[in-house]
Amino acid sequence: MSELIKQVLHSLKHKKNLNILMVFTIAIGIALMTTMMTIAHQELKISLPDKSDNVHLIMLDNRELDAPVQEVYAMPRTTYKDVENIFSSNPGTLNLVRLWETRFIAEPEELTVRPMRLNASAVNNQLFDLMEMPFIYGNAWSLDDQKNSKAVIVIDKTVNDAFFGGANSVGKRILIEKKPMTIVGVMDISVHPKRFQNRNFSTRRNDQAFIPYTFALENNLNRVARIACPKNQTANNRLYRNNDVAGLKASECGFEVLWAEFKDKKQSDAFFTWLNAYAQKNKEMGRFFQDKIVYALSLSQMMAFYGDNDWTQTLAMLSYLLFAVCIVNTSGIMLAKFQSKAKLVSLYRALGATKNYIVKIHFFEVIIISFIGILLGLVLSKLGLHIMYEIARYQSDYLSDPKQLQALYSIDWNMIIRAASITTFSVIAAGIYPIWRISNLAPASQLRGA
Amino acid sequence: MEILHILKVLKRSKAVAILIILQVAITLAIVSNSVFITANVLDNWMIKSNLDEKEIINIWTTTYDNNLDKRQLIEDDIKRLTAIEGVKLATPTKENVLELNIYRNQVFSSIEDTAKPINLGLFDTNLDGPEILGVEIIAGRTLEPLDLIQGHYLDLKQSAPNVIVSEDMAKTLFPNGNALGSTFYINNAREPAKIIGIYKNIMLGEMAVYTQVEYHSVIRPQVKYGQNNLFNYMVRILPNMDDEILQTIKDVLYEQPGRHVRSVEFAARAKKRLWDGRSSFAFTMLGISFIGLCITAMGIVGLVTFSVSLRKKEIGTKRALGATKWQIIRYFLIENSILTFIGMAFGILLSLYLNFILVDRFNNGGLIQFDYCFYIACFIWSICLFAVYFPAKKAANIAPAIVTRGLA
Repeated sequence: MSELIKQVLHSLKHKKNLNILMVFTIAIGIALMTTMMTIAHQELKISLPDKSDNVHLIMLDNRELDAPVQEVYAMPRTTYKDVENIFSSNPGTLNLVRLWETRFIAEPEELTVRPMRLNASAVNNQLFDLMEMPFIYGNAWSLDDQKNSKAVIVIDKTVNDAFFGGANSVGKRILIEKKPMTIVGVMDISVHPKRFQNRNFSTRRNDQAFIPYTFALENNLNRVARIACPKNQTANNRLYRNNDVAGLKASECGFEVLWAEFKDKKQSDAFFTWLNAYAQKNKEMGRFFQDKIVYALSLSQMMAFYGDNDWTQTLAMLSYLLFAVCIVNTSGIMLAKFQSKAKLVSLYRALGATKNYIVKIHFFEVIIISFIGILLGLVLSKLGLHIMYEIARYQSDYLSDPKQLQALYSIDWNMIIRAASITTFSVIAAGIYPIWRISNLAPASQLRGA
Repeated sequence: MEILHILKVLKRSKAVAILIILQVAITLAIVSNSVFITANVLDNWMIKSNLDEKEIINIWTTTYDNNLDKRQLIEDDIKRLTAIEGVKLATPTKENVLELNIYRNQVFSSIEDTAKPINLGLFDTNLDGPEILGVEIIAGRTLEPLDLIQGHYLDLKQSAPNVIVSEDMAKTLFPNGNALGSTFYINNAREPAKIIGIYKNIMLGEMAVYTQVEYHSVIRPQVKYGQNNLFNYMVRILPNMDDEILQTIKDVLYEQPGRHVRSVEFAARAKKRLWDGRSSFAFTMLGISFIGLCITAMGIVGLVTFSVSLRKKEIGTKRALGATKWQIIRYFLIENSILTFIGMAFGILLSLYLNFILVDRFNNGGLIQFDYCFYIACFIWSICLFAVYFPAKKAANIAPAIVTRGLA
């Protein structure tokens, strides 16, 4: 055994420059591939993996008959009327969530700090359970608060840090557009790297506060996201944004995002049976026109769609291509290295070494070099990810939330193991031909002359 | 000549030849596209702006207290801003320099519904607007006090009738000349505007730049408030002021409660932001090019070393027959150059394919500029020669005596 180790080390010392070349080739290849693969993996990562198949986005296609055919992902948001009807008929769900986005300027009641412009959403309190939202202080508002349109708010840790220095601010008040709101909870939304709850999946920023939708409607907080009005009502689009809440409620303009979480398939089947019947009834009443009205997408389906970034995929393809080139080059360097030892190996064979023994020596040599290469490569890939992160920050003119963005460029053990195994496997595959060649040298064949 | 002989040798060791050709092709495809994209970005950065970008500051604020007197706010803000040391002039505005902040503006040459909309940067300013933006009047006159319209939007039924426009704007609206004195129409409301002055081209409008009409702009002496909570300003400062003034302006604006200052930045920052997407694309592609070149170079070293190790006898024979060390090196340089050229020939096809993908998928391929192709080819060729030099040198050191050992 020790004889084998001695032979391996001796073999390694031979032609050190080629060793270095091989290590660098492997390292660059794995660094590039791991960087791009990690980014692609993080972009496709599912929030709430445990329940992502049971959480569905519910959409009702209320467009006119002559509306153009479009993808499921582009189906309009839901109208106030439909959302209210669905909620009031109390279908069996684990959680039923409604959401629309707003923005406001907030400041602490004591006006001690400068105001902040917050991205926020008007929701019902079941959102927090659906998102498994971690709370640092306090909790979500109660159903009673919601029913009574109470002026309560849940703020994010970042807002709490800015306004109250991170202290427990539950019970304190902040002003949104000069309206006093009582803080009932401080959440930490950074566990969710993508803002999926508004069906946008942005990685640049997330909600900084949530307020009860009842309060939001009663106080006419701006609707800042898409309002999908049917053709004959599009003129009201701008009106419904900042005014005429009553009109918006009565219209067929969709602006709410509707999510449903189910316990099991039985529950979801029952729900959709009911929903389809509801859609049919409303079609007969003249509110819907299409053949297929009810659409549902699970969270995992949406993640797969929105995480499929063309640019990342192209970079990943290029990096796999270059990785393949690296592996081929590694094979070439191995051939060069082994060829230069041909005389020695044929001598060993002449002296009685078996083919197996020769294979073993060179196999271990390949393993050791690939191990060093992989280590170096993983270190380089950390550098690579940092560079890509900096480029992304530059691209957003440093306006993106750094913590949320960093999540996209973080490597986890899953990736490390994946990259290391792919590389080891590939390097061994690359070594098959060179090792076969050298072990097949006829004994003493190289001893004649040169 | 040698070349035929080399080709014969290559035919024998096809694998090595093919591998080198492939790598050079791939590298050429990546490097050339990166260069095209980078050239495209540089072109964008280089567009002459004629803008004093470090002397104009964009200010974007919103109010959130409905009890604020908006007219008083604007008056107070202008007073506050001009009182700051280093600030020469200030004006209210809707659109900021190279930073839209609001819905897109468009103009029309006629009042018809079918008139084609033209993109531009529209600046509704007070009488100091032209000086703040630094425009140079080349025809007609600049704005005069009687041109200014100021007030609450519900009180003002009309819009400012006299405007000044840029050279390009005048040419686009009235291609037959005689723009001076003619009337065009602004936005869907078709507000009429008479051109009373024309200024030298200057890059001002964000939407104009994006739609490749960089110099389209109009300055209208109009300060209408009350439609929304947006209160933007543009400020002219003395040259060579440092970033501290941005913070000073922010602090001064915050003296007014009930208002949120969204951003205070030099026009230079807004200009940089125009191309952020394209430049990060370019940086990434350049980085991958560099890695690709390294990989190919290392690959050539490895593959040629292997090739040399197979041909020791042949090289030794040459040396024994009188070839100098330099001739051996030259042989390998020529052999590698042939492979490189063949590789680049395939690389051109691959490069066109990659360019198509980049343009088709991302609208960002960068125009193929053939004059760069020559330099790219030379560059890759020299990298390859550099890479092959090391194994070639080793080859040249093979002793001629190798021939004497054993059967050839």
